[in-house]
Amino acid sequence: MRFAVSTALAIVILAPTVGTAETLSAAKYDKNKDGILDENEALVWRLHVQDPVLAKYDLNLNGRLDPAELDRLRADSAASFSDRASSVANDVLFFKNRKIADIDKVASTRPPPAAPAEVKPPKGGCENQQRLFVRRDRLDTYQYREGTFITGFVPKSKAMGASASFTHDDLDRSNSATINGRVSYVIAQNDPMSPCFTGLPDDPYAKHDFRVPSLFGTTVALWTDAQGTINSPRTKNEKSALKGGFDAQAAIAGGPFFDLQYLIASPYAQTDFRGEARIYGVTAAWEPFAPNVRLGGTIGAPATKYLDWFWQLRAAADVKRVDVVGATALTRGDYAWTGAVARLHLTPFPDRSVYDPFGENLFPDLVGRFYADFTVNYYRDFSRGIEALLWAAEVGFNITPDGAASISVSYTDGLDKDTLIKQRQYLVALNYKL
Amino acid sequence: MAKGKKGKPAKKGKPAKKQGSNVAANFAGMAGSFISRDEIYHRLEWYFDHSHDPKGPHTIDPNTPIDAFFQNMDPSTGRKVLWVNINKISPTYVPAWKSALFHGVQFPWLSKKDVAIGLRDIQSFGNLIDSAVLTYEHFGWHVS
Repeated sequence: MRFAVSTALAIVILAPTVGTAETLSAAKYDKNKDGILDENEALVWRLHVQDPVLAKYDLNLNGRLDPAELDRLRADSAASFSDRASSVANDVLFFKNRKIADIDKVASTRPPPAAPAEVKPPKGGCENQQRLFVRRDRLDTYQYREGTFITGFVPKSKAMGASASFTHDDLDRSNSATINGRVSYVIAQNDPMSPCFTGLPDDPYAKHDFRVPSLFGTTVALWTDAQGTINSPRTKNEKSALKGGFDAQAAIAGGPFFDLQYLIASPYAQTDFRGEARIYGVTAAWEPFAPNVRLGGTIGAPATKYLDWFWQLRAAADVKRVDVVGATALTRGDYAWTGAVARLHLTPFPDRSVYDPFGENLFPDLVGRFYADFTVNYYRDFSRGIEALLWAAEVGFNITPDGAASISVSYTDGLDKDTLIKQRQYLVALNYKL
Repeated sequence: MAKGKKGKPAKKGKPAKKQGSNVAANFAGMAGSFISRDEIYHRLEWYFDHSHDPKGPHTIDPNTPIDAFFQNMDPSTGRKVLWVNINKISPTYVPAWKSALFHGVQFPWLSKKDVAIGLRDIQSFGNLIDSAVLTYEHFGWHVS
């Protein structure tokens, strides 16, 4: 808070020519109180609108700073110098001893300063924390973090919403409905990002042993998930899954090997849109993060200036019983899949501008343009004694610098455990994301 | 610490290689319970980029959004990982610096007015520097 206040003060005092909004009321400039601004009164009013420093210190409203008013300005400036100097200390260290041309180049494109933003409680208190989530799928719920109480962390606008469509074909005399959505309701939550989190001591410097794993947030939520299409009359390729269950999710912080781990257990019941399928199961997943070995992502600079990389690992067990197949591709019986998916992500010519904005990139036109992914899924069904190995390789080129549009070539080979369909395919795709 | 003693850039020596390297590069800064904001700034830069030269100018803009340092992690996960990782490294001896990287001080997760800037709340690299300065001061260091 001190940072924010001192920064604001610095802006007011050091930048007197910064424009202000046309919100300075003219009322107090009507010195003779006749309800009209004469020419002199209007002149002072406009001068004050133009110059907030003058507006602040010109107490007698004569349009200039008299000696007494200047003395007050000097006193305020001296008193606040320490705070203001402190507020720009980092900038001074960053820009000192640099060439003017370099400074102007970097300063003209740098992001605006940001003050620490303490999270805000939900409107109406913690009892009114968001509990109902209507989204496209599990990933879009962002571990059930509410997007409204932490500005900029998980904006709701980034999540995809649920969708439903209905098509009637007059010639074919057929109807089709497609639903892709997930409705979740949070029963209990202790998210350390939330101001309602109660799991930490009041003392921010309370002793904490980061080499020992500790619970760092939990969530329990009910959900129902609908993905698929239903047709009338029924078609052969109709596939749909209607699931209901709950997520029990825990984050583990610290430990000797990993910095953060997510453990997620999700018991569920599954049918299809016609209510014919009868499937029960539970999925348990583990996602570790260790940035020092580039697992789960990285913190900091690219590995080299020519190539950056990280890898991801998600281990999971999916045990399910299929009593009635219904409109799915499964067969009757038990499945007990155990395995993992690992992905290696390569980025040639990574962007290093964050780590040296004054430096020059070797190949500026190629920065962030290419990528390559190599993914391996391996699962074994112990109850049936079958294995499912599916691997894929993809190389792509980002058409736009931000990667919103890209073109990619991928090759997939192996057996998909969810469909048990053998795949060997090439795919050239134009990708777009928001 | 005598009043007015300014923080100095790290002493000259061989450039650092990698964390854990046996190369005796001399990035050692001010000894004891005295440290400068300048040195904290360099140590944080080195934490994010081991190729950073503490003898040279600062290279990471204080205005850089903190999210820019989290590759492939959503901002929430990135903050949690950063909080744990930087605190695990804090007491770890780094040969290049001839000291523990952050001298064992513990960065806070939550903020407290005028006392702590929590990693949960920081928005930029400059906020992280300010957080580190407050943290050092809390643990009894004199930051010049």
